[in-house]
Amino acid sequence: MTPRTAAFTLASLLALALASDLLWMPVQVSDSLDEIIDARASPSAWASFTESLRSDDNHLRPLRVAQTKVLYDLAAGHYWLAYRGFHAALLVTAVLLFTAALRVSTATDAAAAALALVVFIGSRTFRGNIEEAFPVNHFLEVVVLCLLTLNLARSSRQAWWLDAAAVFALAAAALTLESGLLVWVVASGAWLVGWRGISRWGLVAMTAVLTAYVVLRLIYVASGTGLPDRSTGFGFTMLDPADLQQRFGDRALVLYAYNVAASALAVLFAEPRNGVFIATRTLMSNELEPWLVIPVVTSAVTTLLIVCTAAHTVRRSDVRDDTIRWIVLSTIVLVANAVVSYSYTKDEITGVAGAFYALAAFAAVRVVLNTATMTRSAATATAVTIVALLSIGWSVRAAGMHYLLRAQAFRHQNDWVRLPGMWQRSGRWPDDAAAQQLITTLREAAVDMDLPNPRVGERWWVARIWED
Amino acid sequence: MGRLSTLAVTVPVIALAVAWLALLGAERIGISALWGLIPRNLAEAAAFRDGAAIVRAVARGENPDAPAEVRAGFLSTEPLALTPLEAAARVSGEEVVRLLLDLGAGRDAAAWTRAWCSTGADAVRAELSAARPADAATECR
Repeated sequence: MTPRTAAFTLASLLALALASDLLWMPVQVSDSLDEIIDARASPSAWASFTESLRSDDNHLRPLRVAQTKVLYDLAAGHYWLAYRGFHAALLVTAVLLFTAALRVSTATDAAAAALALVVFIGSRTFRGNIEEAFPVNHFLEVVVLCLLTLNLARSSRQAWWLDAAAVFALAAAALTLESGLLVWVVASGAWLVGWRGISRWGLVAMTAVLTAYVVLRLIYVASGTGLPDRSTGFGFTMLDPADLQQRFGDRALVLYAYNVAASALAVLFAEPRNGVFIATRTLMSNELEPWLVIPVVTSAVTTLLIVCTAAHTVRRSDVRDDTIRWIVLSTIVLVANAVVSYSYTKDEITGVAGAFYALAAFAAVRVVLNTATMTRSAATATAVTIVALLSIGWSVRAAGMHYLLRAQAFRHQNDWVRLPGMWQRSGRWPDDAAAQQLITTLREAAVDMDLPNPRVGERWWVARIWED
Repeated sequence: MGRLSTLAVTVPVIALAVAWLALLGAERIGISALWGLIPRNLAEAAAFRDGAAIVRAVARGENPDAPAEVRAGFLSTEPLALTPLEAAARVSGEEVVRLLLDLGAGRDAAAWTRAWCSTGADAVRAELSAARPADAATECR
């Protein structure tokens, strides 16, 4: 087996495990069922697209609802399969594109890729890619399109279709979520560091799309420079819109600066979480649990390793590999992604930065492993030991995704169980027979799933090392 | 050193992938390394607050007022014979109580009174009050 095949085999196994977990989960109710009901009522995907442009004054996300409609129509009654299947397919695509971007060619590359894979799927920012779907996980779509663009940029030769694909990726991502603009950042950053599979003209075309997007926003979206109309973390607590108005009503820039810094720190140190310094708060009250310690320690050591590798590589003029390119590109993406999150902090928004952080980790680990093959010293042995411990730590974190998804599946299932009674009591139950049938079909699919019950009989150690 | 370091980094990730898939396979056939209890009857499903298991059991034709054994070590150190409504009331599961009532439980006055008397939780009693059979007593001995 070649190192490249080994890396893809391992990536496929991890993707299979994640996809199996996702497929063993009902479609979620909150932020999802209403979207599906709206999709049913819409005459076509184009109508959904244009209606979103007309009616949503706060966002420019017309592809978001159009996709929900396309999947609804393709489902032909098999809604769970369409929505969860699409989510699982996106996830597998993300893992495979991530692995492809690494261009594994040696055994050392393969080992570094293994660690990078668990950094990718074990990070807190990855949770947002799998934890929820509305009913499509648009954060994951943006990650996929950014990784696709990176692969296009890493192509060894330029071609018109590579440029066209990159332009398409940017347009699709930007019209889905605001963070989709990171596709342009990835393409430009890759070009800056010397990965020029996307040509100069391709980049010009992408910049034209970016400009068109800005113009469209000016036309369709009300100018919003005010405070967010949703809760966000600050310091040691969550603040609701009323608290935000009281504390930052006349100095929104302070909140924005905090959000940018908090988003970057969350990627680098797994703290704060959604803007709240939870680990620090519990440390101060002497209640620190392994599920808080493991992420912070593994992330902090990985970040330190990346920084040391960057310093080491810059000092050595004989290094000709792409280590520093990975680190510079991931830094560019981190900064841009943090800036995109200025309005409020939410871990899933930094999913792209999380993926690129894992790519930087790949480069750093590869340097350690390559050094170990060439030299024998106490320093090298120590570095290898640290990397091996990191591999264990990140694997434990990645295993937590199974725990999270099982707990989430049970929650979704119970939401469906309660739904008819709850909606009937609150007067939300639709009068339309077709909408009732849709809800009944989705509920039956959810209730029929035989899921483990995480509310009882939990092993004592489970909730100590993983969080749901 | 090179080969050893490569193995040291790779083995935990391979172990993770294999263990994850094995865990999923085992959970599919009802064996979980993380969570242990599968309800054996409707009363246990209520005690475990497993809404879907309750809906499935009632759809299969189980009587929602029939007492059944809830195993030892969960609500008590001894096994208990409880109605589903009573089991839900004991774990203060007002949502489960509401679900059971929606599914037709508690129409039998004796079953309703057993549930009423097994809890002091206001939220649970509020749910029960809303579905009290006309002849059900609220005095508990």
